[in-house]
Amino acid sequence: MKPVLKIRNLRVYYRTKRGIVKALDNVSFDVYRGEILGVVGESGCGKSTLGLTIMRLLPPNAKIISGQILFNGVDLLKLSNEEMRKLRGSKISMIFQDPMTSFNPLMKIGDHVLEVFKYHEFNDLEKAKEIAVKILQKMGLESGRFYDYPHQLSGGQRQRVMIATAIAMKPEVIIADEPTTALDVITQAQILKILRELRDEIGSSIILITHNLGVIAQIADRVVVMYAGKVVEVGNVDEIFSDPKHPYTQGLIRAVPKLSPEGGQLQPIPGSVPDLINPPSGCRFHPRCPFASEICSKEEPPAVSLNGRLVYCHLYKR
Amino acid sequence: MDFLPKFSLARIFGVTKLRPPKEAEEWYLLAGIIMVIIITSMSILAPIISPYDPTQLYAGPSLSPPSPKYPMGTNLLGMDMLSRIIWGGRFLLLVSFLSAVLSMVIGSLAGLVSGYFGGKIDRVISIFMDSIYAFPGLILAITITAMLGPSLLNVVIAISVIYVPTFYRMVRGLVLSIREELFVEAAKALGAKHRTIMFKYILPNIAPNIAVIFSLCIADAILTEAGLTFIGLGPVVPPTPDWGLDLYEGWRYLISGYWWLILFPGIFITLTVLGFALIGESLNELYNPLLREEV
Repeated sequence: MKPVLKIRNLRVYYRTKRGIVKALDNVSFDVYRGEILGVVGESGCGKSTLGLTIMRLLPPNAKIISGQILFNGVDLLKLSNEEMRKLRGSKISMIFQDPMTSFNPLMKIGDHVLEVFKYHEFNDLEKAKEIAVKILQKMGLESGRFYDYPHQLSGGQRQRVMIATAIAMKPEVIIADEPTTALDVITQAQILKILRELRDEIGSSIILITHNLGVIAQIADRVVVMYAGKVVEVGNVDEIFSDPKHPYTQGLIRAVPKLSPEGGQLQPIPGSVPDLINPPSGCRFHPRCPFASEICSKEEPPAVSLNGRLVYCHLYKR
Repeated sequence: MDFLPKFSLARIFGVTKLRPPKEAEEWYLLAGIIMVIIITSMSILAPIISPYDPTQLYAGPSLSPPSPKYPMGTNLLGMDMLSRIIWGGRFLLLVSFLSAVLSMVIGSLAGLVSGYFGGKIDRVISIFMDSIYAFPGLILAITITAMLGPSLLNVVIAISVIYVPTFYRMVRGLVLSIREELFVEAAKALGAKHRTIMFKYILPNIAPNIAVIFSLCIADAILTEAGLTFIGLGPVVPPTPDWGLDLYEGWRYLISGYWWLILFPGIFITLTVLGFALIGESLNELYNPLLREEV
């Protein structure tokens, strides 16, 4: 399989009053065609920054220090603003976390979907409308909804409309930033089902950013585990869940509540997420790591390949 | 309860249910709208409804007090004051409306660009607007009119310059907050152009606030225009009927006891300003319930 998106040595820093926040530090991974890639990590580990960096929608106080984002071989970070605008929504699109505030309250649902076609020089409005109605129907919204305003829809319906706008132009990559966080569990399951069907139908790659391991387990093919602005482990979803290698991944999986009677007590990871203004030296997880040794606080762990999986940990260094 | 007659404008425009006003602000709004409608239609229909030609000399005896034949009296030259009142709002309303529109368009556009793009453009426009804002309105209008000469267009320009910063500041402030809304980011993520985001996503969301300022701005512009005319810098010269002009003419006779020459133009200027101000203030209170709670 060929990667559609290659991210290499990406560093993104935020300028703040307290200092420079190293939100992404040397992040590299690939996204293959037609896969659902889960990006998982705690709040503030740089997941959302990653999504915004790929879209090049970072706030003005953020700076991309170095790195490449290769989309079909073209470095997105080198495109002009206008070239990037043309890619957004047509080749790479994004689904946001909060469906309640992601719509212009004064625009009808149908117009939200139609807008995408207008942005990308799809001028046959009749045909666009036909497609828009069809997509909305596929999302389970009857055609009468086309003329409703966002406030007339429920959260789940709005999230489906947002997905409809994101896929209207059949993009190659869809970035879903916590698409289910604001929804109840049943709606969440519907949305995940829709995402999976989409992938099968139009063959887009989906980058699913979430802090919810359950969501990842349900639909992702591969997982990127992030901690404090760095990638700690990359691998297939089954392997990561059945045999986590990195101590942080192990901790994360242990910290998920289990419903079985022998589940016992929850085992949280001790300590808290480090301050990204002054991250710990060496491996950023070492202050909380049960296996930390002397080298961990001194040297950054290299990427170690274990049967197709990547682990950034000194434990596995040969 | 259905407040609307069966065939009314509101029904034609698709409003099917309108309840009678409940809160005080809604009554103020209704009162303001009625006052504005009466005064505007009076001015527009002036050729039809005025009993005399407003510039006709000796339509009646000179300086006769209000009587059934001349309900508002006559002036020194025997012109009928009622007819002059009916005609006299035309320039005032036209000038204040045009200047309010002009300052709304310029101020809102500048505020939109400034707030949306930020950075250097924002700083330059802000400094420019603040320097206009620093002058007292009437003084600035006097200066500009004196410089350009008192014609209709020049007075419109002079008055609109005063109110551009008012629109600018309000629009810029709102754009700064709406720019951060998630739906703006969502639109960017779909590939929207800056122009689209500004005019389709941000501007409609601040339109109600612009309407409020617009109404208040007309009220204020009327006062400014009347003030300019009063000191002889207005767009009209005697014997054209104009409330500001009549106020000035009548003021000189007040001491001799000819009160009707100044009373009626004064009342009409006040009522017009009051009408627009009522609309603006009550719209503001109704649109910003938070503001009302704070007070």
